[in-house]
Amino acid sequence: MAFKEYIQLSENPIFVRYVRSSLRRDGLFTPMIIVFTICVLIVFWEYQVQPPPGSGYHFIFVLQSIILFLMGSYKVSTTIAKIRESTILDFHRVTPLPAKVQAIGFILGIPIRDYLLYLVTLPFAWYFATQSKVFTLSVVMELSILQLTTAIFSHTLSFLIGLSTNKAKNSGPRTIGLMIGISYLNSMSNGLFLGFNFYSTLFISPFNLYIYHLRTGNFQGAVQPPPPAVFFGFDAPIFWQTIFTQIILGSFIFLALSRRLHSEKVALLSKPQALALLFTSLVLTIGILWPYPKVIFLGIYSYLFTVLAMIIGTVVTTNQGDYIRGCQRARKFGSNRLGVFNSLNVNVVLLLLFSLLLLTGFLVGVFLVSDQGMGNNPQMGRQSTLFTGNLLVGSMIPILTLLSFGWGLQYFHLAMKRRVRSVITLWIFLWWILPLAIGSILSMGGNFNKNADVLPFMLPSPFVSLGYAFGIGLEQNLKVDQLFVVFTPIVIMSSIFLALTLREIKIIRQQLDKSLNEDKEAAPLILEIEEENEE
Amino acid sequence: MVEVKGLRVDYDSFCAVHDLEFHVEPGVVYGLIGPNGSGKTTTMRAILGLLEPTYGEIYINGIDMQENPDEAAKYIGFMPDFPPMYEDLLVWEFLDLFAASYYVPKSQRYEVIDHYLDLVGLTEKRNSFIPGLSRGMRQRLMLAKTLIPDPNVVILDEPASGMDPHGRADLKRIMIELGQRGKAVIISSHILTEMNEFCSAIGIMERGHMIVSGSIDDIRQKMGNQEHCEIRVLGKEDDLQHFLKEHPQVHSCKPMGNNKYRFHFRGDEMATSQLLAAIVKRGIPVVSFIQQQENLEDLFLKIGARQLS
Repeated sequence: MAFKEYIQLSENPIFVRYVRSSLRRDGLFTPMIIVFTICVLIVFWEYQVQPPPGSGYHFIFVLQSIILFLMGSYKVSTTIAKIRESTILDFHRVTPLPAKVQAIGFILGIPIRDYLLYLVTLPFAWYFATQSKVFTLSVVMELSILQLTTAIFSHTLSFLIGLSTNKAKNSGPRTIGLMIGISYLNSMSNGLFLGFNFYSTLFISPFNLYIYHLRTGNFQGAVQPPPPAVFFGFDAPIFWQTIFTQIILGSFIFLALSRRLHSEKVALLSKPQALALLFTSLVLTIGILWPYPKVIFLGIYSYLFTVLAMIIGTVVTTNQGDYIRGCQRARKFGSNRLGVFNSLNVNVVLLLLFSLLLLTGFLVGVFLVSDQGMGNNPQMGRQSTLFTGNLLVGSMIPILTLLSFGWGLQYFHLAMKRRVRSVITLWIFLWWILPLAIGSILSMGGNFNKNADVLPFMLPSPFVSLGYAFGIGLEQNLKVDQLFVVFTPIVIMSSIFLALTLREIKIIRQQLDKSLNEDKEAAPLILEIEEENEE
Repeated sequence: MVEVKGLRVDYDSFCAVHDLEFHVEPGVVYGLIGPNGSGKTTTMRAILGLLEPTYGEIYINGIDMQENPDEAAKYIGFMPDFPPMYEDLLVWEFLDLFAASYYVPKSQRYEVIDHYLDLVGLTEKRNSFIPGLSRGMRQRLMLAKTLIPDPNVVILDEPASGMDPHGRADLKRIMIELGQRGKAVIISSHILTEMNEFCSAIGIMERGHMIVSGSIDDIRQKMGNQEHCEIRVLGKEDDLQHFLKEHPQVHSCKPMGNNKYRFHFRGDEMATSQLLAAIVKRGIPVVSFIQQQENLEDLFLKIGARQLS
């Protein structure tokens, strides 16, 4: 396959098709006029109100983000979901055009009109850059490039959502929710709302760079200096860190959507790819969180990685049909077992490997992260006093939570064909939400004097217990009663679900043996017919 | 040209296609027949690479579909029963999209598109938007899209549904033409009388099994070739019935109304001519005498598969 085919957009039939249909004069004229008028109004506002220099750029930045991230992503997700639902996608699947070339055509072609609208805003962004000391022309250029790379990244993600959503009508709201979620979490972790002084955990948007310049430029309202921009202790500009992270994570997302675009029936990632994604995310996160205090690192790590491992585990969880298919295929080739990394095998050993990665990251966090504090930030500048033994006990909490979740999910998918989602939703609600709700009600009732008193009621929920996992590293003495509350549900659940999964595997295998014998006994229909004719 | 070996497809614990074996040679129009749920569409989707089979091998032009799907796809054209389309495109843009996807060179695309639009009778709709096309026109446009890469293998799932009589006649002509040009055509349909006119081979499926597969002549032979005759007379019907009942090579004689009778006759052409001569010799006024081989519907019913829905 020539590399040229991937990059030559003018020869990409799907890209060309969207250029033709999206850039017809009737559909393009109105939105362009609207965006242009909004930009002119922003210039007029700045001229009239005389706000701090650079304020106009805020509005342009927000407008650009709405056009590229919200409108563009929504369009990509809903369009591909509709194409899939109408089965036109099957026509593309049976063409010799490689799935990756098709994906590039869809991702860059569907939002082509939004890119044009973005171009309309660019001269205004540059105009404001010449007026501001904070957002200078070079800063605006960097931010503009990051907006484009982030647009491609989020459109790739939206494409995957569109391909994976069962009903086309659900894909749009899901995409918008995710985009707002990413923006909000980024803003929140950047300290806009909570006053913390660290960057987003993963650099996948231009907001980190935006915040960095707000703070270095002493823009009004930016009271704290930015945290250092380093990667594994080395100075690394945020611009390049963001590009790097987007390329790495975007590649995995692109890989997943290419697999799904090629065939509806395959998992988004193969099991080795899932493991590689978890490992890569781990390395990136450790690199980005390197300068932070150990306690901050472990807090983020514990939550982020347990949830990330759960999501990746969910993506590669095998259902009953796939497992049966895998067994049939293996038997055809004279084997009775499926390999650990076989895409049709169940997630039993794989989750242990995930846990091993999680534990490795935890240990790296404890022993290797620099713990140098946050420079001149008094809030985060202190060295952490940690008790390693307690931390190691704590590290078992995310691991057992992951195993309980993963094996539970695997069991339900293996044992049930229908109502799997309802059962899993109920299980997650009872496990994650109910303890939290009970604890909250008790704390409001006035029967408990301290927050610590309601903690045992909330601890079974992973929302609380994952935070507790690194929190106990700060305590000299472990509280056995609290540990009992935390560990009991996850130990019981992981053991029971593992046993149930293994039992289900055995049942399926026995049923296959039985059906195989029945097949052998049954005479082929063709013979019956021939016998009838002879008669 | 198309070779399917030991194909099995499972949906959860349900086996949709069970160890299927058949092949379609170049120049053969192969009708895949069976009731709903017999596994026809699943088989076609597996051949197209849209379904991952549990196991089995599929070769298109000698290329393993599972090993090298993009290469194999170059030789396949596919048309479904109800064609979805891009509603925001012009007719020529739709064809250009797929012509480019099949690597038809840019310099030839204009001519190729015009040729196939002419073939399916849509030349005057070249610059129309797709929403302005009727269902039959859409079906024809889809046929043009299917043929544009000049595929060696053409797979058509219920292609005649929704077509008007003119479109059906065109489809029949194109099928025969494709066969003559050495293409391997696999076509599924419920309308057996139409398939009878252009299929040279058939496969009858039932509950995921291929009950019988091969050329229509071979299958007729295999099922015990029984030709049936139809005779219409102007009188002496009792004489005729008595004669046919007594004749050793005639059986299952049934009155069809309007002085017409239908019966099975075992014998070669000479025996048939002697039968007709004997009837005339008895003074029975014969108006017409037609000898017919069993059509697809007869074969299908004889084989004993469930009724087509």
